[in-house]
Amino acid sequence: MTSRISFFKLTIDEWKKLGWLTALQTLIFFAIIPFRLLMSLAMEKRNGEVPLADVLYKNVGFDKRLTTVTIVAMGILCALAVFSYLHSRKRLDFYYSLAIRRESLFLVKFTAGTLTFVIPFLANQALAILIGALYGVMSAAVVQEIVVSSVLGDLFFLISYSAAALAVLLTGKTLTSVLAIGTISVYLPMLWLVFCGYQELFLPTLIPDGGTYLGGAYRIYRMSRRMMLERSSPWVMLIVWHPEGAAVRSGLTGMWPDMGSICLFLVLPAVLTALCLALCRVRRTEAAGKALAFGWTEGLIKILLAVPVACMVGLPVYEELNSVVWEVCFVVAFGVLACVIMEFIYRWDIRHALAHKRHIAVTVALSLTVFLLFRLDLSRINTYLPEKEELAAMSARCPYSDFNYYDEDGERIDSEREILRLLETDRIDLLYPLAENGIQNVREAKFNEFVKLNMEYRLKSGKTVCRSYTVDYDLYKKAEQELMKDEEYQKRYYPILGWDDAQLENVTSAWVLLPPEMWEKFEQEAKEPTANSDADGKAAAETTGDAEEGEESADGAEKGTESSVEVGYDEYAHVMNGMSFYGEAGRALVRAYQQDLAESDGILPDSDSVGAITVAKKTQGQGQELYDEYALRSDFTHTMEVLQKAYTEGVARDIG
Amino acid sequence: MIQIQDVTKQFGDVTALNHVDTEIGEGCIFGLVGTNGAGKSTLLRVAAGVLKPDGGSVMVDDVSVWEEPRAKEKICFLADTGWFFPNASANTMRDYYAIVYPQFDRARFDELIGKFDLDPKRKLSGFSKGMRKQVAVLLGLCANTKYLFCDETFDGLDPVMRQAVKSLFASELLNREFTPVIASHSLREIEDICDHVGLLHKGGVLFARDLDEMKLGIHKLQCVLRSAQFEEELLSELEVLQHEKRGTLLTIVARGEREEISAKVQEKEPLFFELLPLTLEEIFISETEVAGYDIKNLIF
Repeated sequence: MTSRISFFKLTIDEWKKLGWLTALQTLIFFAIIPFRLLMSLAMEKRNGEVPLADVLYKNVGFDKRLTTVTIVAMGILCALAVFSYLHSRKRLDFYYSLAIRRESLFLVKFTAGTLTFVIPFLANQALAILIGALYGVMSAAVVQEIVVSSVLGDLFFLISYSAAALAVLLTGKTLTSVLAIGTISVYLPMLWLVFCGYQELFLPTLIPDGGTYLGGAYRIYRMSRRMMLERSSPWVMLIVWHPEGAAVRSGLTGMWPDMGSICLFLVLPAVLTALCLALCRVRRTEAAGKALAFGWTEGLIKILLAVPVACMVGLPVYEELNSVVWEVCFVVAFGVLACVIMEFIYRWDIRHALAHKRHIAVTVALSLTVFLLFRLDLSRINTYLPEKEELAAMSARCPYSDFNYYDEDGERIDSEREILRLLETDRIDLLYPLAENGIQNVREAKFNEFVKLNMEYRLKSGKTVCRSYTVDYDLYKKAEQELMKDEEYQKRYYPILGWDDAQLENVTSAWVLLPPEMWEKFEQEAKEPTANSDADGKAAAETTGDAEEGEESADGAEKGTESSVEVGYDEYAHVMNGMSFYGEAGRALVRAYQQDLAESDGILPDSDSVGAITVAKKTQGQGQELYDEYALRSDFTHTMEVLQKAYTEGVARDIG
Repeated sequence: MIQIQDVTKQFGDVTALNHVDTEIGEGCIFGLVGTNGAGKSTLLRVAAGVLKPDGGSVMVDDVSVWEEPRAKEKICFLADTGWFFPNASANTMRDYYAIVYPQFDRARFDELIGKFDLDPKRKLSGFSKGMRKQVAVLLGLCANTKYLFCDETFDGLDPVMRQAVKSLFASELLNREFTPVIASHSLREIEDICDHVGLLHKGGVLFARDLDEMKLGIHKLQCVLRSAQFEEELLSELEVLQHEKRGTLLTIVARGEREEISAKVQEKEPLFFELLPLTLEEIFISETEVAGYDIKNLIF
């Protein structure tokens, strides 16, 4: 710096002038750190219910959300206070005439503002250590965690502070700075919300991980979902942040920060501050008093905000009125209104609210384009149907099935797209009419009394496209029954059919959910021995023994190691009840179910289901339990026999 | 020397400075006058390095002033809307100026603040507008910078204070390298102080001259001549800037030497003749009319 002005002297002087800010933060951090700790320790010492060390852990160190939120808020407050000179012509005339570069002046102010936080924050953290020591609960490990959390707190402050400083630099008024901070925080989540709403309402055929939609852009968008929601702004990111990764270790007061986050927290304030300095250089003095510091951003920001607002309005109007004319009217009206409000914020003069009509025109045009693109499916996403001749294979499955699919390595497949690939068949003649029917239903907006189906088209070119349809039940049933005649396909479709006892060695439980008539039938069987049953029916019985063979085992047998059945019911037993099968009893139930399933023509969703069994098994080598749910049909006689017997014996044992 | 070279500055659609070219020599008191909105404040803010010119440059002792501490350390800028820290006293401001202007003369400031009968510990927010301007001028003077830019700083000062400030400026001019530049919309207020004047109008400098030279070169006379023919001859012989006839009394503002003008009038054997002193205002009215501007649009 060529200036002869002393950076140090100027910084200290600026810090002194921000004495009120230092005092305010001292008071706030005193209240939420040492004072709160002191009160908690004093109360618990008197009550003696919780160990004092636990009280200490709860109030200091890592994962203290209140402290984090306060730090973030203080960062914003400090930036608004410290850099308010950028919004005042008087002060800029004064400061910018001094023999000091603008960047240097910014750094002076930045440092002074940082001191207003760092000194009170660290002092109060030190005070907390002292209080802990006075109560005899402070240990070296906790001190270490408090020290690290203090550094982390400082970094949090720097991120929040520098990001807010950036907002101040980009605007010319404090009001617009505050609005900018708020807008930056909610903008990406708002975009995400609008996109999800549009997809949900206007693209019902889209499968969330459809992959090729928008040439892969959709997948990128999904991948960036976290970025959009959890890292939509530095402030949101800090508030929702939690350590991640396998290397994260637990401390006494909370989780230690992971290395990735530490790197991010070190780099982010440096990047933001560098951006601020760059902006200092190009930001004009005359920006003070204007809404935005850079005039060319006015139109851009207006359009970027007004278009999603207008598009968002289309959603409730579509749901309420379902009329393209009204929807267009509302989208246009709110697009204009959003522009008018933005222009008013810019000029603060209602007479100029309709200025920059070109911005309004662009907003309306973009809003309508986006809205109609989705609303009228102009990109033909819902009605996409390749020619039969183009297809190499197709697949279809009901997405409501809760059973899982596994790859060759025994890893569960989570992607719907991958599952559909697994279920591919060359019986295009059976599945193609389902797709045609699904598209027809979308066109006619028929969504009730149908079966939800996810389908995949694999084209001869290698391209795969996935869609979700609602298909006529009878049509699907007919196709499904035909497909299930192929034993290999049936086994692929129902993974449970491929399981043998060796794979089921860790079956731990199963439960059923039956309709009233089934329970009445079951209760009829158990009527005789339960004549004197509990009047209100509130009871729980545990019967041990092989469900099929009726062999008893000791009460209290450890679940999963002994063959046992638990029957639970209550006064609503005719509506809902549950049974849990353990060990061999569980395996017997699954064998019966497999037999029924293999003999059936497939399980159709909803209409022919009378309940479900949920099978838990451990994945090989990982010790992790996975739960698969399979629908139960009333004609699954082998399974029903096992269930009925278990239920009857369970009730009898309860009465006995 | 301050060289303002082809400086242009626009605020949106408004051209505040339109290719301004002028020089401010060392050791003079330079007055920058013009109507409201003429660009005086803008020119001073550009010259002080507060505003970046859209075109052209301002050189202070051959160093560009924009973002150049070497040039800016020679300047102290007192803006029209002077700003003091909230709750600051004169002493607080003195301490701050001592940091940002390393040559700041604290002892002299303390002495002057006493002479001006201002309480150095009293909050400036409790001072009158004129008192605050006095503090601002004293701070600027004691900053000991080579150039002091005062934007409308004297507008709130009473005549006594203006004289006091003029004396201070004179004293500074004698004792050190000092060039104050004073912008004002009031010619009468800076007439007492400045020896060089530049006139700004609609973003451009109409002229910038030495005040005494201007006064020596322009004269106002009143006479009564014997015939209309003599009047026409006289008007054609003199370099008339302005003339007016009321009854038989002819009033002329003309450029030229005093003796030369007197001789030409005497040749016409006037019934009555006298030379009158010209105010700065009249000089400017005349000069601006000559420059082609309608006097009615220039309200001083």
